[in-house]
Amino acid sequence: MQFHVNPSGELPIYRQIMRQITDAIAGGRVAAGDQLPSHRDLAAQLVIAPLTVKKAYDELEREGLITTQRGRGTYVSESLPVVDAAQRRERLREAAQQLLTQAALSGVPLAEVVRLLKEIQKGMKS
Amino acid sequence: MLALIRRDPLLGSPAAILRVLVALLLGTSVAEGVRTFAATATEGAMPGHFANRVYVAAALWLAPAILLLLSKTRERCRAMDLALPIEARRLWLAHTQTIWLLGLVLLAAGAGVLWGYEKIVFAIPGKIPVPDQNLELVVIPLAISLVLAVAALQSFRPGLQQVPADRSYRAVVLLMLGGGLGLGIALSKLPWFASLLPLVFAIGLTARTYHSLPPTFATSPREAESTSEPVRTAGTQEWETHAETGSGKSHSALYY
Amino acid sequence: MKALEFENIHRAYRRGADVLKGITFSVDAGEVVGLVGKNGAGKTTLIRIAMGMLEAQTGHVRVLGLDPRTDALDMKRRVGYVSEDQILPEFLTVGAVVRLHRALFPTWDDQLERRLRERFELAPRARIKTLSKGQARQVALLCAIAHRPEVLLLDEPAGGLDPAARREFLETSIQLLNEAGSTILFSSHYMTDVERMAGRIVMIHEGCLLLDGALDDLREQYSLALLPRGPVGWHDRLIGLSGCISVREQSDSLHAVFRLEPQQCRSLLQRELHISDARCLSITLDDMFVELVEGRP
Repeated sequence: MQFHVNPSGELPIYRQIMRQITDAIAGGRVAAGDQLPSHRDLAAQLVIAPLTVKKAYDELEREGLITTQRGRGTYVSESLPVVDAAQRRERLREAAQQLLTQAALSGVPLAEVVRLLKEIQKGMKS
Repeated sequence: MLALIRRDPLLGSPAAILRVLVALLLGTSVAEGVRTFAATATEGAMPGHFANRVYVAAALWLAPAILLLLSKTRERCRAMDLALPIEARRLWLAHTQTIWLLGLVLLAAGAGVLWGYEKIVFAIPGKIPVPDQNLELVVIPLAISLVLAVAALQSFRPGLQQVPADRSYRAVVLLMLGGGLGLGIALSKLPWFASLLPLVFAIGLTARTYHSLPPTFATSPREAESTSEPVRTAGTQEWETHAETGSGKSHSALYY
Repeated sequence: MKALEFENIHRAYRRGADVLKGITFSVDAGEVVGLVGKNGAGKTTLIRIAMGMLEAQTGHVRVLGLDPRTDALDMKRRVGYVSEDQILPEFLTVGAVVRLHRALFPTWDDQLERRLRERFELAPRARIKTLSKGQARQVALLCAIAHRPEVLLLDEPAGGLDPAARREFLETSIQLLNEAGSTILFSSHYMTDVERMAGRIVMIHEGCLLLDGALDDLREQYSLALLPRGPVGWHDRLIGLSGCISVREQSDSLHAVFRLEPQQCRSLLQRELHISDARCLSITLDDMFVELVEGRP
């Protein structure tokens, strides 16, 4: 998968990495059991501090999305975690709230928003 | 120690050293020429021993004096050395020894120039009636004065990597230059063992300063102040940073 | 034992101006701390004090538990230092400079030296005089890290370098972090470099500590609000809001920094001041620097 970091971006660097990995998993671009680069390799290649990458990996590991085995490497988890259904709905609701607020402030009608969502989903699948 | 001397700021570049040496010796030559002229201007009269000695000493002292005035003499070690695990006292001693070495070489070379004058110029028949220079009486005392002057100069604010050329330093330098010359002339009139006293004093002073030095030099405060860039406003900063990265976005990509 | 400790450091120059007024912070082993601040804020002075090149008038500093003035030799053997104004001797060759360093540091790693020399493509016979600024800085960096220092002190290490050279510098530093897990304290004007390397930020302004915290926390806990100028008095009302850190006027808009997430910031502005056309963004280090340094109430 392709990693891409913007030090001055909206999110802190570790979150950008987390999001990219999460997106890749969600979009099927990496499969369960695939190997990810070691945190040192990724740090060297993206030119960011190794501790930052480690932080991202640690967080993802805590959420159960990846596992690190000493001496063997970091892999996408075989079995992805089951997030509590209610929690999932809550998170989605919050995200939707933000999206619709933005749309309202920018004067974008609901139909347009739905079209946009479909477009993005198509992009994720490819 | 030899390795440190070789690295001394004064011996920075071989070409520069050569140039400086030649310039200084030319200076001695000129001084000698002036002295000769002054002596002959009194219509062949034989100036007294004392006057003669003063001129000789002054001509000889010129080159080492200029050495002491050089800015590299103030610099006890290179800026780079401050970050290295070398004791400050070793650097200090190496620098002091370098100045001694160079100073004595200059003195000897100057004496050589004067001696050359004596043997060649004054030997020309028809004649410049200039009295005996008594070089040997003057050179050794001057050498010892030089050793003392250098030791004293280096003992001024010894803990600094580079002594700032402020008023107090300039005063000390002038004192050493004038005093050194005066001492040399005075010693040349006294029996030889009188010269031992200042020599011993010089060695004592050097040893004392050596032991008093902390393990590391300090940058002189004036130095530190002047190396910080002129204060720019944050506004300029922002503009520069944005200009660098093009609206503040920079990307790294890894194709995995 | 902390890798670096500054405690109540005061430093004034003879002319009377205080350069550092009671700086206190410490750095754990393996941390990477970015020191930011305007020119003249005291960053160079602080680093020089850590290296023993200057003495603090009050307070004390410890590097790896050692006093940089009295335990200078022990400390310097375990510390690497690169500074923008560190001048290498012009007439020495690259090889001579490296040899000089190799002889002085017992922990010198020949393999690392060779790798770095090859990577930087440094010709051992080249005189320092003939090198570009970037290359000379690379020599300095090589000499500073080939002995695998436990602590690396960098004072504007990328100053005056072009972006390619700066990137090289960053990459080498990251390599060192990867291999030796050294503690790094570096000062820099290039905020993007700081954002890449630093885990923690210490911001100094006029000799005082303005900010000391994890970079990620900064990004996540603070936001920047951009609003139109508005009527007179808005400036003060903004400052009065709880969570507002600074306000700055910029042509016909106001920039305000809040210790809130962008969403919360937006809600606050809506609630308290009935402002709905404010842009609330997460704040970059660059913005933070500009706002805090210029917009202090």
